[in-house]
This record gives sequence, structure tokens and C-alpha cells, in this order.
Amino acid sequence: MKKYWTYFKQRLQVRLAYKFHVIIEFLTSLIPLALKVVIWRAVLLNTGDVRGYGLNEFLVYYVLTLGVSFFYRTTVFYLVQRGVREGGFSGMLVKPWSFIGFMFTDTFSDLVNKLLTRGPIFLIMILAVSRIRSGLDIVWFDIPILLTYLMLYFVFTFFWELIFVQLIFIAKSGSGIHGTLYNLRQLLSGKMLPVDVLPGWLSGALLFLPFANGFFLPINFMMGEVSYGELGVGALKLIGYLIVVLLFLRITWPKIIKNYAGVGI
Amino acid sequence: MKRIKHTLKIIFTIFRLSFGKFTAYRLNLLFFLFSTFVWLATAFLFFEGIFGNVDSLVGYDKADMFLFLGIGQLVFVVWASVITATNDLDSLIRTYDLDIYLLKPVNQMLFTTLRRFNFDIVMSLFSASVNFVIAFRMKSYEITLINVMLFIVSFCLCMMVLYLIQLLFNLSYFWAPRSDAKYLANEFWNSMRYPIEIYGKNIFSFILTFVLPFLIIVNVPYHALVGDLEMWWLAVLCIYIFVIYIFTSWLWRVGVKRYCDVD
Repeated sequence: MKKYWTYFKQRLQVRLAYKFHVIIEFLTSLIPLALKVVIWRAVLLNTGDVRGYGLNEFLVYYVLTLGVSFFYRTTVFYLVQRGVREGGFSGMLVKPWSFIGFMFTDTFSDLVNKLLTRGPIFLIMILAVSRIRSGLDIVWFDIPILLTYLMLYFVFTFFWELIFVQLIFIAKSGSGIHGTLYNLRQLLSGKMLPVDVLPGWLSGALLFLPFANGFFLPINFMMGEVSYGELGVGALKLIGYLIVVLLFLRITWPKIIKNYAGVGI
Repeated sequence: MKRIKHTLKIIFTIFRLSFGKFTAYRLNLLFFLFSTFVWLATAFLFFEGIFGNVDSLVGYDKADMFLFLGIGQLVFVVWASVITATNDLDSLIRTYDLDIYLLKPVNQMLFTTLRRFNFDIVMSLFSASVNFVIAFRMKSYEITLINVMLFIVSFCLCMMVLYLIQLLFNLSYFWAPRSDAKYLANEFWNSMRYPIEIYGKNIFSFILTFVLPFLIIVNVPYHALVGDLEMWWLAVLCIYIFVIYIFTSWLWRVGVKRYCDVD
């Protein structure tokens, strides 16, 4: 465990050195958020509300998506693609540690970095929004529950992406795979628009999948639309999906590593 | 004539090398294609969320929005396939690899920023064409030959504008190599996919229309295609391109001078 801790500290140190970069990146991510609110404002000109969402609720929803997005940003693709293409991956494999553990540590340091650098700005935004607009409904003891839930989502997304990372060993390039996963996330999670704005059958189908469970459900919980019980069911679904993903990886990952030639291209 | 021949030879070489890279990662291309399907589904979902609740958005119906999206996707294809190398400027400056391009006996600015063609993105033409098909099946637009020609002219002018704005953002790397200016430009990119009217009449929409004209990039070709473009927009675009090209060329020279000083 000590080696992972050392690596975590080292990665965090490196990432914190570029904290200004991370803050600017976060501020630029406010532009698409503002854009979505502007579009919904235009929609609401013709109708009072959209399935219970007024401008206040849309604003709160999209601000909350920024915070939940911290928990779905993996760095695995870039690490593996570089390693496979340049042949440096073999160097990682001979080290006395689990490569998956090494990647998880790197991704986790990214999450901690984001929480430390972007988190305060996000909290200020939440406080500002909750004072100006109605629609936020959380109490202090909800925070550990939410963090646990989001950490579960973080772990799931890490292993989910790892399934696709394996394809880099075959394709030798991860940009298309990464683009696919990015678009899938936009499509299925509720980042583009609240899932319950969609027709009933579609939102039901999306909520059956892990992405809306991990992304949309905690946001809706914070907005007071989801009970503790429903959040618990969401957590159980996520655990179920996580088990399936882990079982799949247990079969495929050793085979992929075994076939890796260790020659850069 | 000799100069044109030389330039064409360079462009052909860029195409050949880029195509070689494109074919080297064939499996990745399949994922790019799949990615465009997913992107298309996302757009459908978004429109379903909007037009499931209202009939029109600031006067534009669902078909109009699909047409907008199709043109926006065309812009994306050109932007990501031709203008993509503009976004490498930060790494070229940080690693001092810019030297290689500065030594070439061609227009340094144009060669450095347009030296690569990204064939992968061409897959996105598929999603653009699907959007066009949907729009034209949902609504009968009166498209004349003049409209099409105006569309092509305005589209080309808008792409030049987009290239120059992108370049303007990226030139800031000469002064602040870690400024993240390209990400800022990329985020503004999303604003151009929607009708100007959505933004209302305020200072921000004025800036994004006339100062950093991201909003007109899709709006002008759209109105040219549907036949209600006011012609003065073409004159504005030509003047803007001329002025901003002079400015970016000057900024490039100053930046290169500064880069040499640092090196």
C-alpha cells in the first residue's frame, strides 16, 4: 500500500503544480453550462415549465452537473495509449505492483486534485445559486452519503473505461474509443439535459443503465426529487454493474496483457 | 505559376502523409464512426427533450434545428480536419519544436497552423448528412442554385473567419505558453451551433457576433441556404477576414520574434 500512497502523493504534487491550469479549465467549462441555460430560457419563453423544470431548476441542475462531473474523468486512456505506442508499457508491467492499481492511483490523484482546486469554486457557485434560486434541497448529513455514492460511481466508471482501454492494445490508438465513450457519457448520463425531461419510456430506459444512476440520480437527490430509498436502489444497481464489469475484466485483462508484445510503433 | 505549383505540391504532400496516418489506425476509425452515431443519438435526444415540449424555438422548428446542426457538423469537420494543427502551437512553443517550421521556405504562419489534415474526422460527414436528410424530409425548403452558391461562398468565408479567430486565441501562447487559450476558444465553439436569436439582444451576443464572431459561423451559411441572407453579411465577412488576417500576421511576426528571444 505504501508504494501506491507514495505514487499518489507524487502525482498529486505534479497536478497541483498546474492548479491554475485546472481552475481556468473549470472556468471555461462554465461556457457550455451557460449555453444550456440560455437554450432552456428560450424554450421556456413558449411554455411556463418543462416537466416541472423552470429556469431556476435548470440553472441549479446544470451547476450541480459540474460537481458530479469531477467523479467521471479518467486519465487511463492517455497513460495506456502512450505506453502502448511507445513500448514503454512493458516498463510498467515489470514493476512490483498491479498495473490497474497504478492507473487507479493516478486517476484518484486526478479526482483529489479536482476536488481541491475546482471544489471551492464549485461550492461558492452552489452557495450563490442556492441563495439566489430555489431548487437545492440537501442537509449537511447528506454530504457523506453523496460522497460515498459518487465514489462508487467513480470506481465504476474507472473499471468501465478499463474495458475499452483494452482495445487500445489492438487498435494502437485510443482517440476514437475515447470519443465514443465521451459521447456515450453525454448521451446516457443526463449531462446534456435532465433525464426526466425526456419521454417516460426513454428516461426509464436510461435510469436502468449505470450512467444515469451514477450521474443524474445524485443530482436529483440534491434537488429533493429522489428519496434515500431510491438512492439506495441506485447504489445497489451500481454495485451490480460494477461486479459484472469486474468479472469481465478478470477474464479479459490477463489475456490482453499476455498478448502484449512490448514493441512501440 | 511556379509559386502555385510549389504550394500545391506542399498541400499534396500534407494530404499524403495525413492519409498514411489515417490508414495506420484502421480499427480506431471504426470507433470514430461509432462515435458519430452516438453523437447523432445525443443530438436526437436533446431535440426530443426540447421539441417534445415546444413546437418552435425562437421561431425555428425541429427541421430548422436539424439543418442548423447539419451545417454545424460540416463546420466541425472542416475545423477539426483542416484547422486542427492550429491547436498544436502551444506544444510547439513549449518544446521549441516550432524552430523546424520556421526554417521552411514557405509562409511560416500558414504552414505551421495548416500543416496537417485529420482524416479521422471526415467520418463526421456521415452525421452531417444524416442531419441534412432529416431536415429536408421534415420540411420542404426552397433551395435554388443561387442559394447553394451563396451557401458555399459564405461557408468558405466563415471557415476563414473561424481559422483566424482560433489562430488569434492560439497566438497568445507566445506570451503565455500555459494560458489554455485554445480550450477557451473550443468552449466558445459550442455557441455557434444555435440560432443567434436564442442569445437575445445584449452585450455578449454583440461581442460574439461582431468582435469574436463565433455566432455567425453557422448562422450565415444557414440563412444563405434557406434564402433569407442579407447580402451585407458577405461584405462584413470579407472586411473582417482582411482586417483580422493583417492583425494575426503582425501578431505572428511579433510572437516569433519574442519566441526567438526566449529560445
